[in-house]
Amino acid sequence: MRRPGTKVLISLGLITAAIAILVVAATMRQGTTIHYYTTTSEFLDRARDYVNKPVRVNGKVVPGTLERAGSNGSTDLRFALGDSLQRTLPVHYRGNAVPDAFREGADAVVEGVYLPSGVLEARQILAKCPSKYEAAPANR
Amino acid sequence: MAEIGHYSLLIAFFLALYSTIASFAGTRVPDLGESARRAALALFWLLTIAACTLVYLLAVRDLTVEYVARYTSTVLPMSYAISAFWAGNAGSLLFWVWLLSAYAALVVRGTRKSPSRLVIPALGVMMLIALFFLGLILFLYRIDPEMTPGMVRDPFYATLQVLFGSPEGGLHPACNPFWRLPLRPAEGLGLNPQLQNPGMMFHPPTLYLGYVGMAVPYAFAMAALLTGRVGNEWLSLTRRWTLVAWFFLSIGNILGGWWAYVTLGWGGYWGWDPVENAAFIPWLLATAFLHSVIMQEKRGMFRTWNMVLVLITFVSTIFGTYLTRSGVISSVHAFARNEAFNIAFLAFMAVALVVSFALLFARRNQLASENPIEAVLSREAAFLFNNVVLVGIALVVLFGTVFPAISSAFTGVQVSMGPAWFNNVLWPLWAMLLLLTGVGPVISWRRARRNEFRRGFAIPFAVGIVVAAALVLAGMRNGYALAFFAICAFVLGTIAQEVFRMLRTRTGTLDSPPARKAPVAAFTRNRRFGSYIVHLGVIIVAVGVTGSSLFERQSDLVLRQGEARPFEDHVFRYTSFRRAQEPNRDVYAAGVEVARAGEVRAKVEVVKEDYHAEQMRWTKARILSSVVEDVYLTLAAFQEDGSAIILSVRRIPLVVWLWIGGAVLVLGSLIAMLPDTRERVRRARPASRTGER
Repeated sequence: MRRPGTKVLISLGLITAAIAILVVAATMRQGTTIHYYTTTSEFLDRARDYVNKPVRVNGKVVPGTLERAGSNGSTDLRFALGDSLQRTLPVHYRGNAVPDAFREGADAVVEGVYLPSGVLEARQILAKCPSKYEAAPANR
Repeated sequence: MAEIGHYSLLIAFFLALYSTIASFAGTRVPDLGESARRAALALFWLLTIAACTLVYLLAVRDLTVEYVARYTSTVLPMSYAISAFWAGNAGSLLFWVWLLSAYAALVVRGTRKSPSRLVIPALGVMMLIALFFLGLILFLYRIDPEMTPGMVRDPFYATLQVLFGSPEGGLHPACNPFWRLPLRPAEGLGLNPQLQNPGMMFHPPTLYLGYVGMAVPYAFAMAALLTGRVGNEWLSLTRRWTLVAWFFLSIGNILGGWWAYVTLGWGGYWGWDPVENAAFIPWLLATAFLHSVIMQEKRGMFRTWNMVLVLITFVSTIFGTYLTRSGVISSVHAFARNEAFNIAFLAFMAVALVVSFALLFARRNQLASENPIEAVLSREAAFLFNNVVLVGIALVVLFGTVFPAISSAFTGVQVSMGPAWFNNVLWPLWAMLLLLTGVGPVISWRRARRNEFRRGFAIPFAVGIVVAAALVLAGMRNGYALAFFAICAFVLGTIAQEVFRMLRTRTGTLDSPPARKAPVAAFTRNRRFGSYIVHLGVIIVAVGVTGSSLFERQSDLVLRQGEARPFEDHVFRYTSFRRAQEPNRDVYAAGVEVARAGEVRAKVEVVKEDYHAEQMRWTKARILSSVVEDVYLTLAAFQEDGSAIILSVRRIPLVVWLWIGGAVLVLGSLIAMLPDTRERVRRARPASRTGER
C-alpha cells in the first residue's frame, strides 16, 4: 500500500488496540481461564496460591473415599483426589450426573474453585479422556 | 502385502526427490520440466497403490501390521475399519501426502495447455512438501527399548538398524503405517467408539482435502516469488483451487461441529478444543485470503498482503495437522514422548516461514500497491477491516490454543483458556465481522458519498431496527441476542436488496458497465452471486449460534419406570428398559415417550453402550429436531435392573439453522466456482489476459 489515508491508519490502530484490550481483559477476568495442573501433588505444592481461583486438577479418585449423598437428580459427592504420593485433596461436588467413567480408582479431571477451607468445590467432573484422536501413547 | 505399500512409498520418495529437482531445473530446461510433470503423475499413482494397500490391510484386518492392530479389531464393522485409515498418525500422514499428490496431478492435468511459466516451479514446491511428508513416514524413527534388531523383518529398516542402531533398543518407525509387528496379536485394540460415526468417516477426509488444497495457492505464490512473475497470474491460476480448499475446509469444520453435537452427548457443537481450533484457524485465514484477493484483482492493492496471507494460511494447515496429530496441547508430556516427530514438524514450519518471508522480502519492490486507500468509508477500507478482523480472530484463537504450552514453559504452571475466554474476546469481533458482511459488498469503491448511503443502506438498516424492536416487544431482553439478531437482519436486508438489484438491472452489479444484455444476470455473475449465497449461509449460521448458545436450558429428570415428569411444556415418560448384546458392545436402552400438550410427540430410546475391546462406555444422544428448537436427550444414568433412570434433557433453540446455514454456505461456494460469462468472454479474447481493472 502506497500511503493509506491517516483516517484508515487510525481505524486500523483502533481495531488492533480493541482486540488487544479484549484479550487482556478476558485473560484477567476470573472464571475465563483455568489453572491447569497435571497432578494432584503438583497442585498441593502450590495450593495456597490458588485459593478462590478456578482450577483443573487431574488425579485418581482414591479408593474408599467416595461418598454419595443426595437424590432427586442432583448428585452430591465427596471424595479425595490423589496420586501415588498419598497426599490427597478433598473434593466436593453437587450437580448434574457425573460421567460414565467416574468411579473409585479411576482417573478424573476436576474443574472447580479451590476454597479457603482446603476443599476443591467442583463445578464439573470430567472423565479422563486424553484426546479424541490420538488415544494411545506412542510407546505401547 | 504391507511390503507393497512400504516399497511404493520408498520409490515415491525418490520420485518426489527427482520431480522436485527436475521442476526447479525445469524452469530453464523445458524437457526437464515436462519430465517433472510426468514424475508428479507417477508419484500420484505410486501413492495410490500405497493408499490402496493400506485400505486392503485394514479391510482384511491384517493384525500383523501394527497400524491395523492399533486402530481396528476383527469385530469392527467394515466401513469403520476402512475409516481407520485416518484415525491414527501414520495413516493420516499417508492420506495427507496422497491428497497432495492428487492435487499436484490435477494441477499437471489442468495446465497441459497453459503457457504459464509458474506451473513447473509451483509443482516443484508441491513436490518439496510431499518429500517432507514421505520422509517423515519413511525415515523418522524412535528407539524402542522393547525391540531388538533381530525382530526387524523389513530389509529396509534392517539396513537402517545396522547403520543407526543403538544398544538401547531397536529402531521403530515413528509413523509408518506398513510396519509389521514381530508377533500377530490375538485381537486389535479397536477404534474409539466415538469415532464410529458417519460424521467421522467424512469429517477428517474433507478437512484434509481443505488443508492440503491450500498447498496449491501457496505453491503458486512461491513460484511467483521465485520467478519474479508477481503479477495477478498466480491469483487467476489458483482462484478456483483456493475456493476448492475453502469449500472442503468449510465442510470439514461444519461436519466436525455436527459430529460433536450428535455424538458427544453434551449438547454442544463447539468447545474451543485445540483440535477444533486447529481446523478453524486455517478456515479464518483462507476466508481472509479469498476476500483480499478481490482487492488485488480489481484494484491492484494488497499485493504483499496476499502473499503473506497465503503463506500463513498454508503454515496454519501444517500447524493444524501437527496439532491434531501430535496431541501436544492436550498434554505437554506428549512432546517428549515423540520428540523427533515434534521437532520435524516444527522445523518444517519454521523453514517454510523463513524461506517464504525471505523470498517475499527480496521481491518487496515489485509488490508495491497500485492504488492507495482513499477513505475510511470505501469498499477498499471495508475489505481491509474484514481482513484485519479475520486475521485478528485467527490470532486470538491461536493465542488461546497455544497459551497452555507457553504458560507452562515460562511459569511452570499450565494455564488454559476455557470456552468463556474465547467467547468473551471474540463476540465483539464476530459482531463487527457480521456487520462488514453487510457493508462490504454494498459500499462504493474509492469513497462512499452520502446519497449512496441512503440508497445502499436505508432499507436494510430499517429492517434491522424493525427486527430488534419486534424481538423486544416479544419479550427478548438479552442484549447480545438483540444486537446479533439485528445485525443478521440488517445483513439479510443488504443481501436481498443486492440480489434483487442484480436480477432487475440485468447488468450484474451497481458498479459494472450498464446495459449489458444477458438473460438472467445472476447466472452470468456466478462469482458475485455465489458470494451472496455464502454470506446468506454465514448469517443463517450466526442466527443458529446466537440462539443455541444464549438460550439453552437443561434439566436432569429422575424417572422410575412408568413415571412421567415435565420440563417446561414437554412431559417425559420412562416406559421400558432393554439390554442387548452386540458383537463388539453391550447396549443399555431406555424407552422414553415425549409428549407436548397431552399429545405424544415421539417415542425414542436413549442409549448407553459399553464397548468391549476399547473398554469405553459411550452415551449416545437422541435429538428431536425442529426449526424452532432441538430437544436433546441423553441417558445420564440408570439402575442396573432398569427400575429408574436419570434422563438429561436439553432444549437448544435454533441449532438446526447451523446445519442449514452450513449447507447454504457450501452451496454458495460451489456456485462461486462455476465459470463466469465474463470470464468466458475474456478467455475468448486472449489479449486481455491480465484481467480486469
